[in-house]
Amino acid sequence: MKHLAHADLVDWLDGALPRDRAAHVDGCARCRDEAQALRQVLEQARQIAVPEPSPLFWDHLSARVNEGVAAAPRHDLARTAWVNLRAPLLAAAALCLVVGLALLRVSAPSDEDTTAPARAAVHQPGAIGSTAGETLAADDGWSLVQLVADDVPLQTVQDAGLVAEPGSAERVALELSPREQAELALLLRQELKGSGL
Amino acid sequence: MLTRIWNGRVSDVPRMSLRVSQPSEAPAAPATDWETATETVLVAASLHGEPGAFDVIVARHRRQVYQLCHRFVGNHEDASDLAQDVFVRAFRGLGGFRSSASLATWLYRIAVNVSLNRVAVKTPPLEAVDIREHADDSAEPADAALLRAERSTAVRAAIARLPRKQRATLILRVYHDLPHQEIADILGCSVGAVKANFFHALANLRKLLA
Repeated sequence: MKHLAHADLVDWLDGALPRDRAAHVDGCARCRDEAQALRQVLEQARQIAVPEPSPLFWDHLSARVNEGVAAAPRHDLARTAWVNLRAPLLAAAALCLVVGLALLRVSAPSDEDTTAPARAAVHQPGAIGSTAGETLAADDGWSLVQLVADDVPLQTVQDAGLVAEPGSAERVALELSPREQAELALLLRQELKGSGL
Repeated sequence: MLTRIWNGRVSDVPRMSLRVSQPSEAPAAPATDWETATETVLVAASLHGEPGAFDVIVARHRRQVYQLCHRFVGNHEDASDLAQDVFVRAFRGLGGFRSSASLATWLYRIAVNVSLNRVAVKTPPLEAVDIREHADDSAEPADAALLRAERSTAVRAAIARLPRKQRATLILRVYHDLPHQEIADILGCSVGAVKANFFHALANLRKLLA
């Protein structure tokens, strides 16, 4: 004889226990006593009522909600979507820029004379990859990053320890010179403008 | 503005919304226009700042929300504060509400969370039971009324001592008569877990009242 499980007892209280299982309660003193005890305590619990507030309370509650809502920032579907997408978009943009700038710092020769031809080269039509947007292509710094990065195998980048980790963006940004920070700000603005945000 | 709601988000808007969708040609829609609107329409309109739409949502659900909060905290003052908090949080989070879900279920979920958070921080004082509420019109003897009031106080105190999930399950099932599936949706658990919690809530209540 299989006694009622907890879920069966709950179903019995709800009157939802299948007939054959419900018949078991009639023939089993243990299950019957347990079921009756649960029903009794359930009936006791049901006796407890919430005191009805004043009829005026409901309008007062609505007024209080209105006050709270008025103080809350106004909602907007587009804004909600932007809030949801903002973090990943900015993280992606920052990651791209950090990797690019880090490559620039590692690979670019420090001698101004040797940098000059490279800078000149990026002004040559066709020197920049065709996938670059027109706006970004017009930017010397970004073009140079692309030029350098195109020839660097991914393995070389990883071997050099240039793997983005949590906090990398913040660390690198703090190490940038004022000129580099200005360039980063410019590129971020372009990235955000390009994504339509 | 509402034309965007009509075209982009709501396909089952009642005809009356077409009239209020041209605010430049007609005065602002009277509050009564929202009374018959579906919840989907009300949510979309609230998100677009249409005055009156969220008021109707509040009016439709305030009694259930207040009573649910009262079941947790046991007094009017805290229940009133929590009910306000529930609706303000709902308004702030309205953008995250999925129209495939029931607004009532969503509000219940918020109410359960804020109530459980409140009772976790402090134990609110249970209001004294008014004997008159328990007095039977058929001239129940005073001592019997007193006994019922004492019993009522004991049951409320016992419910307040139940573990969180058991307490929430018992309240939603017994006092709000919600089906197990909806309780599972509110509490974020399975129907089996709801039944288990309900069973243990009653069993514990029985022990506490013995």
